[in-house]
Amino acid sequence: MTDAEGPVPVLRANGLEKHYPITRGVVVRRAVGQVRAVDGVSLVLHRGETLAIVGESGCGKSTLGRLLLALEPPTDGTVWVTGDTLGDLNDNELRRKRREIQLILQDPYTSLNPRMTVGVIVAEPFAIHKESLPGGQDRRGAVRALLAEVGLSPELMNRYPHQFSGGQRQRIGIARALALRPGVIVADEPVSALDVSVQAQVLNLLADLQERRGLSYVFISHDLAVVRQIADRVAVMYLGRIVETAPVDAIYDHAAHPYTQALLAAVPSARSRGEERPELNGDVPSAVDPPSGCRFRTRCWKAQDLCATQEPQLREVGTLHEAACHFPETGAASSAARGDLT
Amino acid sequence: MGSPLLEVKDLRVSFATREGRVEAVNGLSFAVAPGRTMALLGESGSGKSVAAQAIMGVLDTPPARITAGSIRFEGQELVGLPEKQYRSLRGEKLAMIFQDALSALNPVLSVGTQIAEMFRVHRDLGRKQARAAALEAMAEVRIPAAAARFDDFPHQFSGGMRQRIMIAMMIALSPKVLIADEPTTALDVTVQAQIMELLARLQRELGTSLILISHDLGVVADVADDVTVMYAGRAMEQGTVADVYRRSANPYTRGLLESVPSLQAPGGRLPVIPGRPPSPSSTPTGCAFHPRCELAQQRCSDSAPALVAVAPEHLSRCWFAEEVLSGD
Repeated sequence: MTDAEGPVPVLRANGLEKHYPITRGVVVRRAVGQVRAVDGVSLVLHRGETLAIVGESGCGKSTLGRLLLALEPPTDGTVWVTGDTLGDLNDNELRRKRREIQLILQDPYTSLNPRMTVGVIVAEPFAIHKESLPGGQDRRGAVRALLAEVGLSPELMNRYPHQFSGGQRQRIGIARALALRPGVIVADEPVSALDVSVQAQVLNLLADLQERRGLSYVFISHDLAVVRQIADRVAVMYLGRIVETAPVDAIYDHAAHPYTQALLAAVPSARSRGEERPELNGDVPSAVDPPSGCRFRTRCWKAQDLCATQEPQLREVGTLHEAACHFPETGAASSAARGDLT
Repeated sequence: MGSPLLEVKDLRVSFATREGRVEAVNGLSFAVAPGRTMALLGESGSGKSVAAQAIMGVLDTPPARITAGSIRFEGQELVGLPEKQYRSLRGEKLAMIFQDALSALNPVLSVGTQIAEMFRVHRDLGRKQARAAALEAMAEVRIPAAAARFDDFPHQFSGGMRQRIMIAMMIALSPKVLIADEPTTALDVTVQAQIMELLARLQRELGTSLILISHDLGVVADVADDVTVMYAGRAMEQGTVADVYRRSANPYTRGLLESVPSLQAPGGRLPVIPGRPPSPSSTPTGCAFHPRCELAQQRCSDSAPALVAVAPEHLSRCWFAEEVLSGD
């Protein structure tokens, strides 16, 4: 993960915000509010690293992914990818830049044209970026190599997407994402729709590809067990903000933020049976009108007056470990405390 | 285990397709005792949801058809039961909750009206009494400000709240058996924990038997007493959760348990089961799992093993069940 001079950043987000207006009126549209889907997110991804973005639905993790890929312009903030700030690029430059950062979706079926054969689908990026065909290879040869690399028989080139299982379609999506030899891949819930036995295969494939190609992943997921398996670092999001970020072991062994603790405690597993665990009341509040101060305070069992008036900022609580909480757990104390919370 | 409340024996369900009849459930047997939770655990295409629909009498017939077997509830045979009798049974004694509450609720009726309807139809309550009973049911499943939300429509609730409303409807009449088909799969993990907690509490209070249909090994471990691991329409292994999870006697169960990432995982590569689950239209001969099994021998493709006891109340369908069991 680290070069001689330390970790090399390949992607950087600074103060990213994405607010969607809520409009009312048919003839005269006027904004009556804003959904603050992403509300001030900064992060760094290093070469060869997997950074997981974890959170529940509506926390803004998928919107964040789209901002990192410049599929949507941010309301504020910048995204920097290996030497370029995406917002500074014109359309042509941005198109070329996209070779370096690619997307894998939960269900590639929706993004695979049902009338195209797999060979044509995987070759499509070469049609758009003619210059990026690997040296000495024709398109067909390049596609065969890509399919083989993701564990699909090149003989399947002439089949159509509906003839494949979910796991195979995910492999096709991965092959297409790899075609232009990107350095960074944003994977949005890439294994969530797969059967348990197939999920493990795809996770291993992603790990193999990372090793072989030196890829860096932003891995967006709601599944904490999957994240533990694949991530080097984890950022936990709640209502548009990162509330905790740390190396993977620190998150799972001594989470500092109550929200992270509750998320972990909610994961069903054979080992936690019968244990008392902190249970969150209610649902995630609306991102239209998030609570004042700390956004998590309405569901937090530790909330004090201070939490309603002052928004906690990310502060260091351990090595490379930051949490946005006025009353974070620190060090080993948290695992002991976890047993007492109900 | 006590005497069973519901007993499924050698159930077979097939579907008419263009390629002929396809077996979705292929000789499934299990029993649920009063107050117990039996999980049907399986991947897609394992037949677990079809089995649930067969028990509820809500299979799409045609194309689906129960071709053999029996489903006995309180001693009464349900296979072949006239629809009219089935319908009264479904409201009163058998109830089912689904993954997607939004599609199970009527979008143009307020949630209060829908819950009250259960009492009006099945308990002959008047409008006022039914409303009171519905409010009580809403409070029971912890819907905040139930009275104020009585007249709201399903789309005005969050996913977790909708699931609570469906549960309120289904437990309104204190059914004997509740079938929950992936009840929390569409929900966030913190909400999922709340709903499973709610189901467990209601089950304790009402003494309902629960049949939990799930693909999630963690949820099953947390909630169920007994588990039937399904593959290609068959039970591969059956027993208490402790036996099946800790002393599995089946290579498929073992493979599943190992391939699931856990919170305690050290990272690195996961052990995998190669290949993928078969589709019901192309189930392998012999043991349906043999093409993916590392223990497979000639015998496994030649003939299908039976589900046999490896210990009291612990069954496995594998030619090498004893070896797998002792291979700890």
